[in-house]
This record gives sequence, structure tokens and C-alpha cells, in this order.
Amino acid sequence: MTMLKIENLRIDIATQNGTLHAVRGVDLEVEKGEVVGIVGESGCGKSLTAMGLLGLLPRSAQRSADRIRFLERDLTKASVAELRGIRGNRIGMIFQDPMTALNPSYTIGDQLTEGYLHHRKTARKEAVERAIYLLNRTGITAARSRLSQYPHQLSGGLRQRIVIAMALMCEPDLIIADEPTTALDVTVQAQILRLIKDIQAEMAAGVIIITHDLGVVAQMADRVAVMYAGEVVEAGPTHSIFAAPQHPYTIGLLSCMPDAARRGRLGQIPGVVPSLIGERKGCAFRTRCPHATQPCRADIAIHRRAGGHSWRCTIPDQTANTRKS
Amino acid sequence: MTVFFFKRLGLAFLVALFVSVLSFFMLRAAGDPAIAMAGEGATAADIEFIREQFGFNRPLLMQYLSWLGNALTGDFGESSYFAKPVSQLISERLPITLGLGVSALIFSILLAVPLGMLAAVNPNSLIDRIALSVSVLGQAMPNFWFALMLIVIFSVWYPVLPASGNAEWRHFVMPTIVLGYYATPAIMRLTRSGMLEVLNADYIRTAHAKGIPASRVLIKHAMRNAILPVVSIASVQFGYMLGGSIIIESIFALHGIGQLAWESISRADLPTVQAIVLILSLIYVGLNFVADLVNAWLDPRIRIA
Ligand SMILES: Nc1ncnc2c1ncn2[C@@H]1O[C@H](COP(=O)(O)OP(=O)(O)OP(=O)(O)O)[C@@H](O)[C@H]1O
Ligand SMILES: [Mg+2]
Repeated sequence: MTMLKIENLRIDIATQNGTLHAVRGVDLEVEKGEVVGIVGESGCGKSLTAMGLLGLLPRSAQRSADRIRFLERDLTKASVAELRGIRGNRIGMIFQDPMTALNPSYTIGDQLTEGYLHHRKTARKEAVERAIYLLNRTGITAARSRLSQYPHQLSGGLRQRIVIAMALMCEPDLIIADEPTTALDVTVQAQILRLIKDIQAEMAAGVIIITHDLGVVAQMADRVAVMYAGEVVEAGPTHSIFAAPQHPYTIGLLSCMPDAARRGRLGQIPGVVPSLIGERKGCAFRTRCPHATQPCRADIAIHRRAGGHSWRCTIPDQTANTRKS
Repeated sequence: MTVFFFKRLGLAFLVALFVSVLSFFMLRAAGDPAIAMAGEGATAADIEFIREQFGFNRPLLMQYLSWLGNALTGDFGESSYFAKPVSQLISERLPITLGLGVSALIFSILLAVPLGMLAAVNPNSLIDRIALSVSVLGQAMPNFWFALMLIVIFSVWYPVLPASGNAEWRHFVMPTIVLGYYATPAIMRLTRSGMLEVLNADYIRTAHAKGIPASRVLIKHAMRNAILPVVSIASVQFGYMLGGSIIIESIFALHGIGQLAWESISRADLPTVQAIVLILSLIYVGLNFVADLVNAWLDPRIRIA
């Protein structure tokens, strides 16, 4: 069952230099119990896509979409009150930086129970029990005593577990994790990813995991959307993307992956990301693409293949190129 | 919190002691008090007599210690001009100035904080412009001129408020507005910038992502953190207002400590001047101490410092 279907999401940001089209017609689907990864370089619009879905955009940003269907509701038509009823309740957010995502002035217990108390209107005691259960579940010891602590008294890893527990308080149907491990060291990263995966399986929740680390995607995601300069350039089942990437950008990213076999020869995509200000015609990647030709300046068709693998490129099938590299 | 409390208390005590040393020795360094007190046309014998009577001929350190010892018991000596105990003068005058200062501070906080918050929540809106104008006006307008304008309007054209005296609360309305408005720009700009910064913080986004009402996010999550610098500046502003009240008190003929300071300085009434400097500084130190406590109560991160 499709729980989330985003169609043609656009996000424009007013800047001093003109309108920045940060997200340019993104389509995204999440099935119940599925983990979808969004990958792409910094600034390609991953976070804005996620925030746009919840209406949590900066003041200067303007969102438009044909449809954002979430559990039989169209979020583009939802009122502010309806959206607030969904946020934190049906959709839980795990933020990037655990050091700044928690309010320094309130205790862990207060911040954990706040949303639950608001949505469920239960007794504080029940919310506290739920918080303790989740803290235990996320591997935090002495959970009860943590509740009276303040964020500055805890390490980054602990705080990220708390942020995760906070997102799970109301048993959301969809969990959005925006680079949940970027700020953490490698051993903690692996633990946190495992934790998200376990809880997701346990709760049968849908997950959108945002990252620029293909290793994370390979480990976590059932399907992947690769973003470049505000567009999804390629999407499909993880195994299909890794085994037979079609878009030159995806191919480039994969060759950048630190791989034990290719140690010391880290691939790099030469060139820079094009400006997001103003309209654009043709393929966004053509300035860096080794296969760019004249047709890349015109509108790009989307190729689809059985199994839900799709990509935007003038070259219909890149399989030959992949084999070569 | 208890450790923090005693640390700060100890610090406040040290600062107070330092202030007492400074206020004593600096006033002495300003000139021979006996000559100043004797006035023009005094003979050498007169000056010698004063020196003897007030103990100015003793070693300075001895004088300081006995002055401090007496001051601790509330005895600041006798005013050489008013011929009254200084402590009596101060207990008559201080309540007026403190009353004015406190009401001015409350006035400026009530004006500046909501305006600064609204301006931050709606940047570049009409309310933001109004807030900016209020602030620029407050900074550009000399307060004696503002005081005179108020007197012209509310005492002369429409005589609704008395222009001078300190018998009842109506006498304090205009002085409060003038003095309070003086502190408004600083408090408002700090509130606005603090709030703008906090509203961009990640934890505000986290709070919105929980789905709690916007008003709750604003009041609970944003305001508490935005108000921290305001608490500190408010105590500093209160100190300025105590100083600034000299002008306001003389315009509105409020017989407060500011006016007493002015009179005693011009009459070289050393015991009185010394006592006023000490007491105003102590109030200032005390205020900063209270501001520290309030901030520690608001922000758990400060408590361990
Ligand atoms: N408040 C804002 N004002 C102006 N531009 C913004 C704002 N927020 C985002 N952008 C721009 O929108 C683009 C997409 O931002 P977004 O945060 O979605 O990137 P991202 O893919 O999440 O990157 P990262 O991996 O660094 O988190 C970026 O180019 C960024 O500069
Ligand atoms: Mg991001």
C-alpha cells in the first residue's frame, strides 16, 4: 500500500539574487513498511523536500505541488491545524544535528513527552512510561534518571537516541530521518542505523532516510531516489540502482564510494553544481557529464524500466557504460 | 544551583568591597575635603578645625576602615550641609528614586519586550517598522526635551498631570515615561535580535515538527531562550536609569537621591556624596546578582558555570 505519494513538489526560495528553485518537481513514493533513501550532494534539496512535505519550510520559501497524498489525505489542501495534527503524530522527524535539535532549557523528559501529551491528551504518567520504554528501546541505560537531565549533560550519541525516541513517541506511520548519523562518529553511526532499521521493522513504519552516504543507503534502503540540483535524476530499487545505475550522475556517485577493493583511487566527479537561481532547461548534470551532447540542452524524457527503475537522461540505457568503468 | 548561588554571592560581595574602596579613595583623590568643606574665605584655623573634627588628619586607611565599619552599621556620618545624619537623608530620598526606577523599568519592559517579540515574529512588517521607529525616536530624543514636551502637553495644554512634586502616584507618571522610554530602545533591539536568532534555531524546528501549537512553540520554546540577554541588559539599564534620574528628578522636582547627589556634590558635602556613591553601586551590584540568578533559573547551562 502506498502511504505517501508526492507529485511534482516544487520549492522556491526568495533570495537577494532572485528566486532560487531549490526543489524542481520531485516525485516520491513510500510504501507501508518500506525504507526509501534520498541521496545526493550537499545542497541538492534533500532536506527541503522532507521539510516541504510537512510544511516546515523557512519563511522565505514557497511550496507548490500537484499532490502530496499521505494516508488518503492531500497535504497540499490540509489546514494548518490538520498539518499540526499529523506532525509528530503520524509523521515523526529525526533531525540531522543532535547537538542543536534539542532545546537547551528543558529537560529530556519534558521534551520527550510534550508531543505525546499534546496529541494523545493522556496523563503525564502514561507519557513518561512511554518515554522510558522508548529510551530503553533505543539502548539508553538508566532511562528514568535521564528524564530529569538537560541536553547539555548528554553526549552526542545519547542525544541522537533521544531525538529518535522523540520521533517515535506517537508511533508514527512515517519516519523521516534527515542525515541522522552525519554528526556522529563511525561506531555510533552503525549502532544508530541498526536501531532505526530494527524499530522500523518492528513498527512496520515507512521511512525516508536522507543521506549523502551511499553506504548508508545500501545498508538501509529498499528503494533509492538520487537527487541532483533539485531534481530526482534516478530512482528505483536499491539493488537495481547499485547493480545497474543508469544516470551518469549516479554512476559517478557510485564510483566515488570508498571501496576496499579500490582503496586509494577515490573517484571524483569533476565540475561544480549549477546555480539553482532562475529557470533551467535541459539536463542539470550536463556541465559535468562525460557523455553530454547537444540533445542534453533540450527537455529530458524520463526512462522507465520494469521494477520501478526510472531515470532522466538522453541516453536510454547506460548499462554498457557501467560495465566499462 | 546552591553552589552557583554561593559563588555568585561571594563574587557580588567582593565587587561590593572593591566598589567601597574605589568610591572612598577616588573621592579623596579629588581634593582635600577639609578645604572644600570650609568653603571660600575660610582661615587656616577653620580648615584645621574641620580636619580635626572629621578626622581627615588620620591615616587614609584608618579613615577608610572606620568609615566602612560605620557604614556597615548604617551610620554614614553627619551631612555637613544639611546638618542631619546622612542615613536619614538617604532613607528619605532613596524610596522616591527607587520607586521611579522600578516603575520606569517596568514601563520600558512592558513596552519593549512585546514590541521586540512581535517585530521578530513578523520581520519587515508594519509592526516591525513601528518598533524600529519607537526605538530610533527613543535614541534620538534627548530626555530633558522629551520631559519638557510632556509637561507642555499634559500639564499646560491639557492639565491632567502635575508637573512637579512627589506627593502621589500622578507625579510619577511623566517621569516614569521619560526615564522608561530612555531604556526602551536597547531592550527592544536586544529582544528582537535575540528572538530572531532563537526562531532560527534547530530546536524551534524540532518543536514545530512535534505538531504542538505555534503559540506554544513561541512562548515555551522561543521566548524563554530569547529573554536571557534581556534580563542582563535590563539590570544594566536600571543602573543607567538610577544615574539618569538626576536630570529627570530635577526637571520634575522629585526630591530623590539624584537630586540629593546633585546638591551634595555642589556643596562639597563629602559624607553624603560618599554614601550615595556607595549605595547606588551596591544597588547595581545587587541587581546584577539578581539578574544572574534569574538567568541561571531560566537556563540550566548557566547553573554549573
Ligand atoms: N533558508 C534558505 N534560504 C536560502 N536558500 C536556502 C534556504 N534553505 C535552503 N536553501 C538552499 O536550497 C538548497 C537546498 O537546500 P537543502 O537544505 O534541501 O539541501 P540538502 O540537500 O539537504 O543539503 P545538505 O546535504 O547540505 O543538508 C541549497 O542550495 C540551499 O542553499
Ligand atoms: Mg540537509
